[in-house]
Amino acid sequence: MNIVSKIEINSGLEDFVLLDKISETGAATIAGKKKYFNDPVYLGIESLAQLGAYHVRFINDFEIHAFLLKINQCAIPANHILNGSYLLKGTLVSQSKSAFCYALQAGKENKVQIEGEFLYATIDYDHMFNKKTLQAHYRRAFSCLKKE
Amino acid sequence: MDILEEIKKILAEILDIENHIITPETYLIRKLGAESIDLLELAVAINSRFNIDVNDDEIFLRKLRQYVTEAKQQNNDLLRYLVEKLPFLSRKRLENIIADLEGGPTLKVKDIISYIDFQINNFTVLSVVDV
Repeated sequence: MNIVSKIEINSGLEDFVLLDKISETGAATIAGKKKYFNDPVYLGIESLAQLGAYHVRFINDFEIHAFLLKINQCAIPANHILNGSYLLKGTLVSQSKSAFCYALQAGKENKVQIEGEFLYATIDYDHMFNKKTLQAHYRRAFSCLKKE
Repeated sequence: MDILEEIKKILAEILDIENHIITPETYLIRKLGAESIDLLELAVAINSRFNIDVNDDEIFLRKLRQYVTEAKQQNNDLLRYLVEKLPFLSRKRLENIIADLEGGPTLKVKDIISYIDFQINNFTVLSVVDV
């Protein structure tokens, strides 16, 4: 039996961060921007997922590991293609100590193109999710995305 | 607001089951097969519906077995220890839980109701949009 010690995944993307900018952050809201170039709609859904996850980390001061658990009722554009500059918005609608539910949407020219409810869970950093590495990474990425 | 009826509606939607099979005595995990992802959905739905703070560890009795171990290690009376740790449950319910530990996850719908009732009557919280 061959044991694979390393799996390489090629997503076809240059960067896994699918946000160009985080423009606003509040206690229960976040907004950002992303420009797409005839990209498939799932990249827009991933952008929204990343935006919400950053807000979960932000309101928890990056002290916990956050991950997307489920997407409910996600509406997508009929042509399944995203092109141009999109405004991404998220609102924290409900939460428990370890779960956070967001209404997230991506819009273009004042028209909502993607809209859904995203549920995130959080766990403490551990041996699988290394605090030193991940906390520094997400803080740095968040800081870069917030810069003008 | 009838807490049981609200919980039945939420659980029926999350677990895709008929709400008439849900009673206060129904076991969430043992009988309804609720998984951890379902409980997280339930937790945020309860926050939204009742406008209360929800601590997942407490409402779903996640640390029950840890408390049992701690009580034994510290030579504490188990019932008294659980009364202190899980103040939203009655002594009678905690006695039943202790007797039921061998049967598997003890969480029942009425435990969720007790938690919500306790939170509503003991704490006032701000909605997330008011923070």
